[in-house]
Amino acid sequence: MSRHSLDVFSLVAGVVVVALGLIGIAGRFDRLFNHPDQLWPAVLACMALVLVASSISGRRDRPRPRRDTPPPV
Amino acid sequence: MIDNTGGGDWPEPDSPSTVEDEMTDDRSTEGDGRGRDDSRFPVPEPAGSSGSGDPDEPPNEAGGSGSDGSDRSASSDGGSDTAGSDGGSVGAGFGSSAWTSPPGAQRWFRSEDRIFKGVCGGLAESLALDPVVVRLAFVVLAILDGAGLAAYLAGYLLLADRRGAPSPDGLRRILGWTVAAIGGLAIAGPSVGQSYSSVTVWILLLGVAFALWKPSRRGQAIPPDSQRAAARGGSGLGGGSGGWPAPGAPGWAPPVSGVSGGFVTADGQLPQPVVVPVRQPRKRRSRSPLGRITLAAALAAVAVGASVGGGDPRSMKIACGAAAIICGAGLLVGVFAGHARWLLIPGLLAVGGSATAAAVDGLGVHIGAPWRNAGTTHVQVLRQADVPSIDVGSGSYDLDMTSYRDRTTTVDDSPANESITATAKVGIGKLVARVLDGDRVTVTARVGIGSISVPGATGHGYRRTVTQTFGPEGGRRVNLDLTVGVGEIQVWLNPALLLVSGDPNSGEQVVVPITAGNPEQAFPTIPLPAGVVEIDDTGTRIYENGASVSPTLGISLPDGTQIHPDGSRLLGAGAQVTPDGWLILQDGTRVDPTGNVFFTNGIQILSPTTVPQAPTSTVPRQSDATTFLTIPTTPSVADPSITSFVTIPVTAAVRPAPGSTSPTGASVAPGTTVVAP
Repeated sequence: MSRHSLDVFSLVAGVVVVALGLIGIAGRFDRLFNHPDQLWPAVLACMALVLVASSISGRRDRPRPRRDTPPPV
Repeated sequence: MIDNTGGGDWPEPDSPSTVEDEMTDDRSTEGDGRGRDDSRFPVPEPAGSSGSGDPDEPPNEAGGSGSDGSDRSASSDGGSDTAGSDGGSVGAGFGSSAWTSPPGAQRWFRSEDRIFKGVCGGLAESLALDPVVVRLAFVVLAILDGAGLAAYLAGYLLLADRRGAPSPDGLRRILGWTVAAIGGLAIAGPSVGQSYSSVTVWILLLGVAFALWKPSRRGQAIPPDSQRAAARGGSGLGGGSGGWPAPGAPGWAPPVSGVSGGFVTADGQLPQPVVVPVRQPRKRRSRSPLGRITLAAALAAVAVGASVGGGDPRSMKIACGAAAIICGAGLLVGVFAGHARWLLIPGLLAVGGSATAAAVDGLGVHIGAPWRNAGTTHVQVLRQADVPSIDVGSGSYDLDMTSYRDRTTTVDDSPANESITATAKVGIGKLVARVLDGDRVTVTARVGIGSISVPGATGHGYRRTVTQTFGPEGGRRVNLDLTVGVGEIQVWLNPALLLVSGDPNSGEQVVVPITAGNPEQAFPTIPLPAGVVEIDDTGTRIYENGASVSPTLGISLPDGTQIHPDGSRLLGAGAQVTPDGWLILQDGTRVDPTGNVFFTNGIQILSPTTVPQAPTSTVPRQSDATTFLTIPTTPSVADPSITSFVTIPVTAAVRPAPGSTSPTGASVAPGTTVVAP
């Protein structure tokens, strides 16, 4: 298991899953589901976070093009 | 020797950069047994002969594969390869004994044309079936009783990874047969009095299977060029990107006798190697163990939670929450080291499981109780003593509280005024309760996740409770307390019974809606006619041999013969009409000219024109029935098979409405029967 650069997608996904797991253990899903007006924004926010993280992560992984040709004189 | 491009880390056989030739079996006589590099030879080999050192890998993957499964399959199945790629072996190594092993000798294996693990595809290949059929069969079996899952898991553990791959090792085989045995016991559980299948068992089995899962080695490191060159061996004539021309290609000539170990052109000169550009294999990132380790830990958490809590929703809620946290932790570790983004999926599944368990928690339902086989359990409830105790993990139950429609009770045993209280709990499944129109019903229905449908109220979603009271005051009191963790609750309001009473004196029949709200009414003891096993909802009498008599007096016989009320007949296969008008069916059943049917087992349908008719219009269903329908029939006994009758006092509560031609009086004449509306 080698180290690599920061994986933003994994970071956001991990935080979200851990948070939801804590909510599950605490038995707070009742409140979460009984207030859908609060649930859906949270779900959408999580999805947006994941998408943004995925986008950022993909941008970071993309190799930058080399500029081998010398600048025009 | 000559360059070999047939190995996994060389250009693939179908690559345009290679020169293809169809290998034939007579090649086996060409070689002298020298220079064969089995580790890169792309044909199936017996276990251990490849020299790869990995019993789970086919020989052609020893050097790291740059080709996909289909390529491997093609080279294995057809035995074809590139002559150029095997130039070192042409004339040198085709006499290897390994080649004598037919590629298709292995009967059972997993397919490389796979959707998941290739079990269905492999079985389809072995049995020469359409893979879709096998996959559908597995899906159906999985849905019905989970047997498909067990079979798939067993197949995954027992079958070779692909055609030509070595068979699974001993531990894996033992586990596979264990899974198969448990699956078989789960199916046969009810018949042997026990059920071995449970959520815990399945989770544990899946966890063990996953722990044994060896991912594909396609991402194995590629040996450096020096090692590849050494592996190619020989003089290096074809080293680098070169290779000898393929047989039949320009510049190729058959081997000349006396020249050992190679080819010469027709003029006796060594041919110039054909320069073939080598496509560099794509580097694959090695699979990180992080994901598998994390998932194994998460499954273990769920399994432990399910075992300790016995399937209690509270423990499952905590176990699934812990599994989600473990998956999240794995994701967080993957932020810096290892790659396991896919852990998001099991993590969210664990969150869903935790939420489901939380929804069920508090309903008093034990999802972890033994699973039942698919199917609905019908329970007929006549009285309180008939109410079963239903508290199961899963299943579908149908509480029929209208059963005295078909199985009438005696007057003294009338359940009309009896209060019935039924309590049922199902973890995952469906509860249906049927009550009579006219009953005074109080329903308290709860679902963790699912839907509720009772007369006058519905609900669906998360942790829904519906309390509803309906029906006339004074009706039979029915109290229903129904709970389903995940699933559905339905309360059906069946039509009230109809009492069809005949008066031989007046020639009339009155149809009185039987309502439990009328204490003066009773339920007469009326046995079903001889041979009749059921009167269905349409009023059709179904006989034990399959014959039926519809309310319109049409008779259908088992062989397809139909006798219409107007006397016309539609003969079934083999039926014959005698000169005197009798109808003789192939099974010996006789029908006389008037339509009486005489079965060989002694059952008769006599005078079908006297079968009680169903009402021809809607009967008002109300507690104080005051409206009657009049159905003219013959004044004779409605059905000769009816042998017992009761006297039912007709009181003001059921007095005919003004203008009705119904008879009045304190008794109802023989011919009373109960039919469905």
